[in-house]
Amino acid sequence: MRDALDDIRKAGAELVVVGSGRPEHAREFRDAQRLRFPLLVDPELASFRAAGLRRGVLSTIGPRALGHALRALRSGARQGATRGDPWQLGGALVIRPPGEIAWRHVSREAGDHPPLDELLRALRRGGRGKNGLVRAT
Amino acid sequence: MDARELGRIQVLDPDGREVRLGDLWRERPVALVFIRHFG
Repeated sequence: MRDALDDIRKAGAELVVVGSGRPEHAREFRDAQRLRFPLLVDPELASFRAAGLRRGVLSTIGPRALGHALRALRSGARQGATRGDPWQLGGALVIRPPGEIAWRHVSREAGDHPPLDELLRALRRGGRGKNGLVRAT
Repeated sequence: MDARELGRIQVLDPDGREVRLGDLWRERPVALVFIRHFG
């Protein structure tokens, strides 16, 4: 995500990350990682719901999630201690003023991360294209 | 698909101050990424 920050800013946009959990979690993570973009938290998960994201035990730990986890482990990724709601899944939106959702990725299971190339294409595009479709089951 | 409902929601910044989501995309586009957990 950090590598995509320059591309996002070159496209005239900003990257904002929203997590679950408490402000102190965000503060500690931001300081430890020296993040250069806004990090926000939504302890009630209201924004996750309004964004149409998913939540559920089976989505988080089902067979597809296991596939993602194995691939991540093979590439050397390791997950640290988890804070926030472990069953809430993530996603990403590209939103233009005054509030058009130009692109959305709804994670179907843990490890299903938003494809950054699609996100960047949506940011660079003026209007809506075929990638304006929602990816969800 | 519009973000009106999403825009009305208040979240918190790392200092615990309220941020209205809609303010984030008032002036320019935003890539809004929701993550499951930090780290």
